Amino acid sequence: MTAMRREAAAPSGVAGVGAGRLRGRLGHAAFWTVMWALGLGALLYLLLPTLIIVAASLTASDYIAFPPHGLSVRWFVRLWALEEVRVAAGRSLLIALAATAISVVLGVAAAFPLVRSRFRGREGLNAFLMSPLILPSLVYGLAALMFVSAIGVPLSIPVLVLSHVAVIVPYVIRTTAASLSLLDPHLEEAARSLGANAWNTFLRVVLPNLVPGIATGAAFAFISSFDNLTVSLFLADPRVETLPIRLFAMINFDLDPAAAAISAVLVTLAFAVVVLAHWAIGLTRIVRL
Amino acid sequence: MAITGLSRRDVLAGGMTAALALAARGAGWAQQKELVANTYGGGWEAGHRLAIAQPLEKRLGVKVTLVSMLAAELVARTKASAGGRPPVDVALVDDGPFLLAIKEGVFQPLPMDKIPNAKRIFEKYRPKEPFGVPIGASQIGIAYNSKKLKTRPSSFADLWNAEYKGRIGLSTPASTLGTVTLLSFARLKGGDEGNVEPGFEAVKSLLPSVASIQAVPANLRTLLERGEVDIAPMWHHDTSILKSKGTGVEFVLPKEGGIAGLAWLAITKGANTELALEYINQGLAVESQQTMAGPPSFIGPVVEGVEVAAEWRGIVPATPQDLEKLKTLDWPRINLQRAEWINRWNREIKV
Amino acid sequence: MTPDGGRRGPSPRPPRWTHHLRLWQLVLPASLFLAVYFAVPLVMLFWWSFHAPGVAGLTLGNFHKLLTDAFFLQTLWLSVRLSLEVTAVTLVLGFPLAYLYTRLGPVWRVSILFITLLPLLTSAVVRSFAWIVILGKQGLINGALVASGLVDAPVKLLFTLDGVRIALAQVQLPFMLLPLINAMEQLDPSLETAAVSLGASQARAFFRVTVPLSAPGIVAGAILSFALTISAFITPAMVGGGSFTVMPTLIYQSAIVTLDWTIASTTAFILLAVALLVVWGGMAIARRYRYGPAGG
Repeated sequence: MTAMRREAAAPSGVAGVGAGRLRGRLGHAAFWTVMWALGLGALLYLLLPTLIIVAASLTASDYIAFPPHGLSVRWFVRLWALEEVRVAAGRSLLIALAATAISVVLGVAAAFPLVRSRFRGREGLNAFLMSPLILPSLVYGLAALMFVSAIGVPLSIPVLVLSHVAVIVPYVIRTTAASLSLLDPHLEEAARSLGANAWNTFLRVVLPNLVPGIATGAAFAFISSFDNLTVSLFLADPRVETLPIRLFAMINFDLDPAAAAISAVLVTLAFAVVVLAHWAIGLTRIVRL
Repeated sequence: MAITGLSRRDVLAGGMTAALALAARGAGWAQQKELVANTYGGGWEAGHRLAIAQPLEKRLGVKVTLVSMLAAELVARTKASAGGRPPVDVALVDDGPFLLAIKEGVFQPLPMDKIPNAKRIFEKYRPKEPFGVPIGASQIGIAYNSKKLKTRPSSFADLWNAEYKGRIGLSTPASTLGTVTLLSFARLKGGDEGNVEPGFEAVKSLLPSVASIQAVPANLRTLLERGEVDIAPMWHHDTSILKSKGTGVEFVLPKEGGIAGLAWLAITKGANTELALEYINQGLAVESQQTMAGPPSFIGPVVEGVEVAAEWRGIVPATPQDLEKLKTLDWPRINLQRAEWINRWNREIKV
Repeated sequence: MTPDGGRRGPSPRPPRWTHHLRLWQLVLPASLFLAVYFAVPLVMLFWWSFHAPGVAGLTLGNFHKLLTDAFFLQTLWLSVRLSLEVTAVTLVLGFPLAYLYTRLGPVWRVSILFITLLPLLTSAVVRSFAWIVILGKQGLINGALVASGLVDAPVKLLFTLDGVRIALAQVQLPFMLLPLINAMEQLDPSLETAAVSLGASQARAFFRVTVPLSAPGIVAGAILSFALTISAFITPAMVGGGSFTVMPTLIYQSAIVTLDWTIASTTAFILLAVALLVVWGGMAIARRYRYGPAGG
């Protein structure tokens, strides 16, 4: 490395400069080649599995194949006929909607003091409210199961819904708080100065501007609940089988294109959420949350 | 707006109580019309759905939910729910777990007079204690891909054949299949349920030829289907499913005797007994048994009067005579040691 | 023009119950809910890990039983090793992509984020299933390997540890990527350019300037990736097919199959403790590296 420094600092003669520059250019090219190769490789690595499973769901054959043997939507049609899949999907939808609704109420309310109030322990409280995001859901699922059993409550859909709320509410809090902190205080000042009271300002100035943030948080929360397997596995009673649980069982017993079709539906849902998030807030801003 | 005479709080309280009462009534009402039954996944679930659940739903207008739960989990969850609703009303379990569950006290005794179709059960299969009825007969043999392997195996001892090197699949004792495999190897080398040491030695000596060891038999079936393994000890019904897909997989009963197994239906304590009895009775009906003996479940019938199609005869055990040629296992003895075998396998056997 | 669009009259009055509301009280519902339904169960788990069946009162019995069991220690070590390997792979793959992100225009950025977020929002079951399809002997990877001549015969990947490594790395990559991007976005790109103009090669500038300055992002990403991998249950279960055991499998088995909740709690406790230890160790090493050679 010292050689490079010497060379760069004191190129000896014209030839030396030329050689130094050539090495520099080669080094530059090599560096960027490696970067691009790894970067594109990573992108492909991220994307391929999703694409493959969607492609596999369109197979006309009786068994999972990639590339698909012939294109057909018969497996999607078949899904509708599979009663257990329909029921599980409906249940997952119900649970996700309920959990998201509760999370929005709890989360939006909580976001305000976190952004606007100054009280002792605010940082700590914020960390606490975000903690479900980093604690392994496996451990939480076990803890929730034991807790519910200890207080003598039988497993049921409401129990499952509440456990989902616990793990998804941080999403709503985070995006709402971020949205709120980005809100221009001048807007509220202007409304106040024109005669609106606090409540009216909230309803007509603050809330509408928060909608993108809340909507994005709600969308993330919804899909987290819909997709959730780990917590649901612990708390699920056979009578409350969710779609991911049904899918898990299906895949464990038989590699059926029907499972691929269900997967493709879930991927489409995820796609919709990402598009919504981009439209509402912009993906580049979400990263900074 | 205040409602004259009542404060808002009173209305709210009243409303909630009414709602709860309705919900409770609704739940109770729903319970009469709802049944949860356990099956194994894949072919068994499809077979039970077609042959038992759907006819029952049509006939009685009730809702039958099928779930798949392993025996161990079923026993554990039923015990945990003691006093309340058990996780399933009707349990489906193999021989070994069936005896274990009876010992653990999770099943209720069956009033056999309420199950008229039970009279048609083959004499040989009839249970000694009234805690369950057999619902299907199975046998374990060797599944091998006849398109890829030239030599047809005739015994478990043939697994050591050079042609099969690197293509064998095995199950761990975590499943009935794996337990039976281990014992079959033990018996080959002179051991039995009391002395399984020769079995472990045999497995270890076979390891160089083993391509994959799976805890879940269904995974083994997947591997066989996709050509990742080409020969494995397997249940006849899993093998039949593969055969019916045209993969070239064939089923062979080892000449030293395959192993017979019965699957049992039982009713958990605290279950919806009335409906559960209907379910069991439906399962033992000749039409249901006939349906289950064919695709996609290929389960051997347990009642008289069922015809097994010619191409499946010999694979699907159609009569007790078929099963007579097979050995049965000393499950009480196995149950005592099974956990230890599983642990030992986990520690010592690695591909 | 009045704020309510021209209508005359006083603006609507807020509901009476809001009169008594303090702003900070709004955080109570969420806080209380999480305290009861999230914190209390975890405390209970902690509490239960110090109990054992058949033994009254607090006991270290379970800890002793587990930590002296060869199979348990083997599993624990496998979990730690696997998670470190996967984290390393996600770092090597994720860093160049994060770097590219900071150097490219908005269309690229949105595309990269799109491709990163999509798997995140897809269920782990789906992602693991995709890998089951890809890892078979006739699957994509083996197809490519055989076609390129790198191997003579298809490699056994499905239901093996190697296959799980490949699947897990992809599943965790977004968790490494997002903190990295977050951190690297805040770096001043002119620093690197300055280093180059002072005579360093691009690679040197990268390794001597950009990487150390991205340390917070690397640490955050590594912690997240490691913690999530060591507690991953679904992918090892599906793609591994039960052919090997990791800590989450043990926890699930003791909780659901054998129903020994004290052992399950103790196992979970040990898992969390070990994960924390590794994370602290990693952070300590990272700190020493940061104040070390970069200064010299």
